[in-house]
Amino acid sequence: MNWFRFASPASFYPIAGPLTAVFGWVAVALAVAGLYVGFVIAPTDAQQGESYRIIFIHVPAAWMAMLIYVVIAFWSLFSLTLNARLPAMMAQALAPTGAMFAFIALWTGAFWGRPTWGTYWVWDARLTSTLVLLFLYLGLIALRSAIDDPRRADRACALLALVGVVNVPIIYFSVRWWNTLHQGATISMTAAPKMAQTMLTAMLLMTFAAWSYAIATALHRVRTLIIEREALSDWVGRFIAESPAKAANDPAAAPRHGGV
Amino acid sequence: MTEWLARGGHGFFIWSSYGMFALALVIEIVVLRRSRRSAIEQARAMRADSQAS
Repeated sequence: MNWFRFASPASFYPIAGPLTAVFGWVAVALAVAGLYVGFVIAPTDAQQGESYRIIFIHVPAAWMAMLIYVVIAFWSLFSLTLNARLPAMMAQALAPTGAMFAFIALWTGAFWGRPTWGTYWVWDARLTSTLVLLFLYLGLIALRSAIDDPRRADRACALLALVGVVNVPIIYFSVRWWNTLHQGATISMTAAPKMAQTMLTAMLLMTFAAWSYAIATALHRVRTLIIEREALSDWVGRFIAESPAKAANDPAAAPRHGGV
Repeated sequence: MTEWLARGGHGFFIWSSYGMFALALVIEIVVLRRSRRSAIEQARAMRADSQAS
């Protein structure tokens, strides 16, 4: 099987549709399971009481915010070196979801910090570097919308993504490099988990749900980008003709030039 | 039920977190669907224009 076949938007588009639905429903199923374990089975934390349950969305959101940025940098490197269209579209499609997760990580962190640390916000290394991550995402989106030519925007955004990726290890290691209010890593590859088994299970289920959701939204967005960018190609024309047209109330489908 | 929602006094913080997350997901999904519809309509219009000229 030649995987490079799917590197062209025309062959990627048809498989991205069903994949969007699959990943979307997997995300829903995992989230339901994760919330059930997290709220029904997992016990109350001995030190933090109930507030710790924010961990089930806080940690997955923070992980996704970092991971998505790394994936954007990866696709950006591809798009710069190979000058290919699809990797640049993948990078563009991931940015809004990454921004959403970065915002949610900060928001849930604030509402977790208040009952446990006594404050919504401190200019601590972990919090500040995560805020920088949110600004990097917003910068990518703003830079994109400021450049009209899509291929030039691809190159500019790819460069910004690659320069900004240095922030991700800073976020990750901030709790070790600096003396921060934020606690250390929740999960370590080298040490046994410090949390109860059910809490860990709920958090991992929510993490995989977030993962699946991000893939679904990125695929959905990439299909929209393909239609926008390749509107005049023959295969997009065929797709538009096949898609359930709302001909009656669709001004674009009506004859616009005196029926010529 | 009220007690379940109160979460031992931490209900406000927990539901503010979960509520904002749910809102963000809903907004993202609505925007995704809208932008897809408008992209299809725009592509139709562009094609109609290019065929007419």
